[in-house]
Amino acid sequence: MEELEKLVKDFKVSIEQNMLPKLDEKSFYKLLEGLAVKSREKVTASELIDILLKSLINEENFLELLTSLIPSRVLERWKEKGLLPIAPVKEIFNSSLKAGFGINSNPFDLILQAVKCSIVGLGCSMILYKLRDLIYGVPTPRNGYIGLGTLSNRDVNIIIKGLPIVLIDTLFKEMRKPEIVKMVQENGANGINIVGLGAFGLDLLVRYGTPSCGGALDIERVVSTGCVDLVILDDLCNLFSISSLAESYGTKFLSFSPLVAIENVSKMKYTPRNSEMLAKSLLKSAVDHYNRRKQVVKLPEEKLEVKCGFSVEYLKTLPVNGLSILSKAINDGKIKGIVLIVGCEKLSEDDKSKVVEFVKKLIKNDILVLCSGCWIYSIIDILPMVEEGTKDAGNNLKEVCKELSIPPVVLLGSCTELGRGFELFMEISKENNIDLKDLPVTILVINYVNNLVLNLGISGASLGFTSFISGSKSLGSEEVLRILQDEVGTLTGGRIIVETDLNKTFETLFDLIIDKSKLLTENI
Amino acid sequence: MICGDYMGKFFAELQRDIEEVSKVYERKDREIWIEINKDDLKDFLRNLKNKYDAHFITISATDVGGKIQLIYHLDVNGLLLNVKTKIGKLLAIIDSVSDIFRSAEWIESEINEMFDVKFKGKTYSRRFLSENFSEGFHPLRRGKL
Repeated sequence: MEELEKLVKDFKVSIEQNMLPKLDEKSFYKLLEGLAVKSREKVTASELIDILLKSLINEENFLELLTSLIPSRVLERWKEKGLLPIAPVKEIFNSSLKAGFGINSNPFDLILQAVKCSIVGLGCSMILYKLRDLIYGVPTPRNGYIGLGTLSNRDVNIIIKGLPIVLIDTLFKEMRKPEIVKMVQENGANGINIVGLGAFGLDLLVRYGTPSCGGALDIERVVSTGCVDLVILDDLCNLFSISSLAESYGTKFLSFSPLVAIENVSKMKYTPRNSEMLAKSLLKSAVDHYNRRKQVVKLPEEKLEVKCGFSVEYLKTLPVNGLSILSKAINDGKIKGIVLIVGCEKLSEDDKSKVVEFVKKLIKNDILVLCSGCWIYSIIDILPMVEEGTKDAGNNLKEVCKELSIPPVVLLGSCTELGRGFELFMEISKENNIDLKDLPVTILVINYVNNLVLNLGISGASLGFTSFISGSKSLGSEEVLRILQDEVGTLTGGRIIVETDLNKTFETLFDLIIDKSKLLTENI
Repeated sequence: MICGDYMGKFFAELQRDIEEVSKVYERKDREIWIEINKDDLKDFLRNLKNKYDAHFITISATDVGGKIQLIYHLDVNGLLLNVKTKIGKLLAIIDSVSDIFRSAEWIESEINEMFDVKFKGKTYSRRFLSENFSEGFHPLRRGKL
């Protein structure tokens, strides 16, 4: 929610100042009218944004927003079971209160509150990516690079782990200006190399094709190459060891988030109005650091090509109507189902081989795999994420992938983009006129670190899907697990399965998808 | 009484039929144990009934961790044929064979209540468990996975 609020506020100023050259006014109105303002007429862009902001605190507006995003059958189920959240701010406030001393000792009620918050998170995540699409453009399949080899010895390397919206565009523009190019060359560098990192790195990759050098937890590895000149942090998944990294390597770390408070990380205030000045000062500071680099270091060459970028909009714009093809293939049992995998942490070597084997089994059996989150950084070298990967897929999946020009294992983007996967499932269910819970779709949360990812698993279950939460971590007491696995499922129509044994999880997930597909095709 | 020649032919033919659907074949005296895919089960049993006039004895069910194992016990010309199959635990669904063997109806209902296994194509007319067991509780099922 906080991400969304920040984005919406920046967005408003940017619109008022006319600072977003990419913005397509027609799409903007279409999006916002679709979202929350159907009944109102002739409002300005700024007023529309105000309505969106209001929906974060106003129950009525938020419900209107949810109605435009979530299928009515699911909304009715939530309403009937008392799961419909009030408004994001209020739900989050209630959660903090309930978790306080002497207020609530009922684990079921606390978990119910968590489910409501996950629904809030789901709604916000869906609007977030829709707005991001509007600002940065809709992701369409493109080739990109991932790995430490994306850093360059002779360039000024700027790592972006998070940056406000207008600043990204401005930064890309500024670095091409003759005076900056001249400054870079005078300091002996060939150019400026902007590389993404972590979840935001994936966002940049799917939208701009900007290479990404690793996951959020790779930051130590990346900075210790000695050739990183500037790291810009967001307020998601920062390692606290950053402070000692900054000391050891002299790399400058800074953040524009008012929430980040880590030693040796400078903070900068940002408003869309001062973005040009800020972009210049960022570039200058990075070039200064380049100048202080003592020697040319030997960089690892690992750099892998991936095909990334996928969206419902992309499917819809295909001349063959990709959405219909995919929906029909699922309805006919040609594609057995879809597994959406999200996670954070690097996999251990043992787990890595299990996951790869499992993903290969899925695609061999005509099951499409969508991936999001930082876990993919550790596995990208062995997953068939390029079009040639279709050779490992079953014949039916191969055919559909070819028609849609996508690999059998699709890189969706960051964990915050998971809403995009949910939107795809909603569109398929609408197209086939079946309830979400009857779709042969499952969510697999693997090796999570950030509770955001765990929350996405619960959001999936609240929509009616089965979410498997797997990895080395246990979630809590037996009572909590019982409520999560048994009672939450009864309320939402979906299921949450917590299992630390990967093999068991994979076996059950596979059986479930195949059984569900069969039920769907046999129309039972 | 079945004569030796006939028995030899019968075994050979049955073994051929089994080999078409099962890779696991174990024979101990007058007992045969085989394992087949759940999708092939119904057709295989129908074939046994039509071809050899097989008689249904019962089904044993066991929760084996991630799956539910079902063993269909049949009498085929005095031979005990045990057909083993495994089904996923979450959806736990398999074709009912009560339209081939009427006598399977009772045990399928019992397994449904004890293990939450749904038998496709079957309607459950009555509940066997007493009211002390709440709806949705399946006594012989161990955990989710």
